[in-house]
Amino acid sequence: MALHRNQGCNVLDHRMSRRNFVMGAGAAAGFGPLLTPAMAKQAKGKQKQILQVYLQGGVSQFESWDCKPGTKYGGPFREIQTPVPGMKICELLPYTAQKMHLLSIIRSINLKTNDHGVGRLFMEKGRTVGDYPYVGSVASRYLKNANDPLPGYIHISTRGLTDNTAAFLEAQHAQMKLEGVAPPENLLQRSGIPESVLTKSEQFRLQLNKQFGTGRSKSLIDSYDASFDQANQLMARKHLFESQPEKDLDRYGHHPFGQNCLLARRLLEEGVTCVKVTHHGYDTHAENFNFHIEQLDEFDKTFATLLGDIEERGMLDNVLIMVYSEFGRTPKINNKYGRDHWGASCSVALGGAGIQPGAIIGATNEDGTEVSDREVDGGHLFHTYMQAVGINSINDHDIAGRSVPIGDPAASAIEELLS
Amino acid sequence: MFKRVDKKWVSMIGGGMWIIIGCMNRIMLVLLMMFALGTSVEGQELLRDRIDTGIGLNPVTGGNSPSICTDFEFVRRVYIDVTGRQPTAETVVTFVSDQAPNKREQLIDKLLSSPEHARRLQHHFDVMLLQRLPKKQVEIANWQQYLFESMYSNKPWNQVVQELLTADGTDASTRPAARFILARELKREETVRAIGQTLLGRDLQCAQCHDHPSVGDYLQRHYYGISAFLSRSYLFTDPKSKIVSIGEKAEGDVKFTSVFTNEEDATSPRILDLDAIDDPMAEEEPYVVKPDNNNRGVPKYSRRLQLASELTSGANSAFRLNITNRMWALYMGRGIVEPLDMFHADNSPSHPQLLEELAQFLVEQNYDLRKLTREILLSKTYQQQSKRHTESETSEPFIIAELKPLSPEQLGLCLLQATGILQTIYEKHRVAMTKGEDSIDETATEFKTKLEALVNTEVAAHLDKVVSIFASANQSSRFDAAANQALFLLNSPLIQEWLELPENLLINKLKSAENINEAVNHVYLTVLSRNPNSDELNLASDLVREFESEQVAGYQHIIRLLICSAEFRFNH
Repeated sequence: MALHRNQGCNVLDHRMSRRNFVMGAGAAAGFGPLLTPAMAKQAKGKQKQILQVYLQGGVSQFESWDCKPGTKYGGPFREIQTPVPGMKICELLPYTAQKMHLLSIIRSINLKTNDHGVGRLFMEKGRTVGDYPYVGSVASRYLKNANDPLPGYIHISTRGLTDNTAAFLEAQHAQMKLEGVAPPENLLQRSGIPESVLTKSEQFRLQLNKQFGTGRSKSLIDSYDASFDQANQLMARKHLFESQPEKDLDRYGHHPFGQNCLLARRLLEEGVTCVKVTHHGYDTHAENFNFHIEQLDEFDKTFATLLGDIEERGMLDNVLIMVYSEFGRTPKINNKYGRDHWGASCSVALGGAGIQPGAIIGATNEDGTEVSDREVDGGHLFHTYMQAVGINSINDHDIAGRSVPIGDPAASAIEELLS
Repeated sequence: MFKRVDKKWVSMIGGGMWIIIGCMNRIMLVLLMMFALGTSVEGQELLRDRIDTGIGLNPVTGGNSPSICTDFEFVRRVYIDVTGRQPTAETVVTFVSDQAPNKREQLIDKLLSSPEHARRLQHHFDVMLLQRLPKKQVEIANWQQYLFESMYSNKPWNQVVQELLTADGTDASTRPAARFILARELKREETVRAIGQTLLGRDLQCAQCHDHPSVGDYLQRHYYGISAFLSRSYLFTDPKSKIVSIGEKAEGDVKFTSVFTNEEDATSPRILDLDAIDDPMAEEEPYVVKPDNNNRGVPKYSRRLQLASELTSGANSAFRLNITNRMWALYMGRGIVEPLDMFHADNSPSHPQLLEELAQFLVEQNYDLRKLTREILLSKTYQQQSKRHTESETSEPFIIAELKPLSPEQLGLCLLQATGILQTIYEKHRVAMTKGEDSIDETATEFKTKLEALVNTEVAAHLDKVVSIFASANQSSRFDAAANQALFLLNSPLIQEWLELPENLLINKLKSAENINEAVNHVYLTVLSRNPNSDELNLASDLVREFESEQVAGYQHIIRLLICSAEFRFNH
């Protein structure tokens, strides 16, 4: 087993970090966390970003990335060829299939859980238990530039699942949740205030803070000011939430997922570090096949369009693409033509940034009932995502007085997938 | 080591002596006053003074201006720290003009005995102990009421903790305390971690799977030593009532394996590095009630009950140091050990001896948190300004007061106060309670408690909304700010609703102000607990004038502007 224990965090480091705190440096609140030299080097140059497409409820691996036509549990669908020799995926994904030269598939994930909550946390935090930040929050903390106008981690969803995604990281790295393409809560200014008042008020607020800040902890007041800067920047970009360009919507689809994906692209173009789009409705305990026809029909064309746009704009070298669920679905088809929860052998598709395209990692056995080669879990995936965007996940988080490994020290990245 | 002078005793003696001495000379009078005010007595240094010496406060400037905060700063600071909200404008004016030399001590004593202080501690300990976990098994309102009553009666801390760990949920009167364990459903990773973090000052999370990779003191056997006290306990669902409580078996031991080394190990119950506690000799019949599907197991020897006494025992210094450090941090803005849940050899306290002395005082005072708090608040260290006057001034910890970010609950209450809503609600209930009855004593404890409870019920929904936006689960005292929080303060329609409530007493008072300057001054006193300086007065008044005939909208705008200031966001 690959074993990474961080030996770099010695007694002196702890003293230093406590000292920093004591000296009122504000424990890196708000501004540019102190990157390790390695991280700083990686963070230089073009900013890395992440697009997460989360298929909520658990997409069936049989009906997507790990098709087993003609086998005991394979179901009714055929597999189709992709541009990558030897790589075939389910026929429910014809548009995505044409783009598979941009992505890789991992087919050998064993999450050892059939619980929605545990599976989701494992896929997001790389740990099954404990208070750790999500992929998007970690990315925001280490990849976002201090002067980026928008929040570092935006999640577009149509239902409310609230999580403390930042865990022990700063609140500014928690996900900003958008209900579809509706503007964030409290984005719109109160009506009836004269324009001249607004300008003067902002100057007044800054003047007040300057006066109060004299002789007091700069880092605290700066980070407070920064949250207002970010709010103002968001308010100045309210057009992002006002209307989606009609021509683009025709390509993405006018349904909510199409609108959400289009907004995701625009947010990535605006420089948001991690954009997550949730596509709901894959928990197919009944009528698995009909539901997958419907769900994946919506997903396929939209996702392929989004992926194409990202490639066309030359962003793929810097944007990590993740398509994932909290688990897969049972090989066994139940008496309601459904498939149930199954974490023992499931798949994800990854691409962009530091991910080698066109690869298939691992395999399941002939009937798809268990992993037969290169078994990995959420811990390995987490290290892989992080390293694909240049975050050294075997390092510790730089939290004053604490040493918390970024990735689970008992797991490691899927090296052969990293370019 | 340092006894506090018992005030009752002192005033009795003082009174007696007064009669005997009659009108002796003035020196004697001064001496008596010093005695009664609790200043140091020969050979007995008060804890508040020990704090100042321990911190290394400059004995020359420490006691005088400009290092000691102004009355404006003090009244705001102590109100927010002790009651969770800033004082009303009237309170500020009255306090500042009060000529009594011991007015700060009087205010501290008044606030510490108020129901609002108990509510503040309820909020604080709720977050500390339950970390904002959702409702499971036990009604949150009952738990909060339990905390409130415990704090209002100033129940000793060791007793509170014993109640948290021993309540099994079968008795309705003690069931609220069982939320500490039942909300975590006895899940090992949550329960053991919470005990380590909140009661022992040690976050042992990493030690669940292996010895901590970089903190030499956090070992896997520490984690499993605590776990072994609880491993025999289980959730029992009563087949009839479906009520879930805690049962326990008489057997079962704890083994663990390191994911690094694959070495297997085992441990008996133990608190950190204290001796392991062996079970007593096995009896022929180990059960009071044998566990089965219909019956909750009750063993003759309970490891879980043993945890309560071992954890709070004098041998376990981690217990007293943790709560002492946490109380200190609550009022000083930072722990002597920081982060609060990282006690270990490589993270030494900034003032180790002081921490020991404070903890010893707490033990001598039978874990009376209010007495400890009183000494902290009376120290000159607590009353330092938060402002540095020259660049060269020392940056040693606690020499200058920390900026304390308002907790989400404090922020909520301060917003309700700043917008006039809190006082409006108080007044409404006060009038309703006294209606038609002249004989009601509004200073009676019973009256104040009932009034506070009614107000608390009415503001709960507002507080929840603010908390949902500003709360984060992390245990650190570090400051956080995010864009959605700023958007709430800038634009939220909810705050506007508060300001536009027709019966809002603050707004109505502003409406009747003689001129704009007077109104702006009142807004400043209400929101920031101080008068505006002349620049501010001019700027704010000009802004109000831009609203032309809509002067009230102008005042509302100034309030919204001030609640967006850093000065409002921090207790300073």
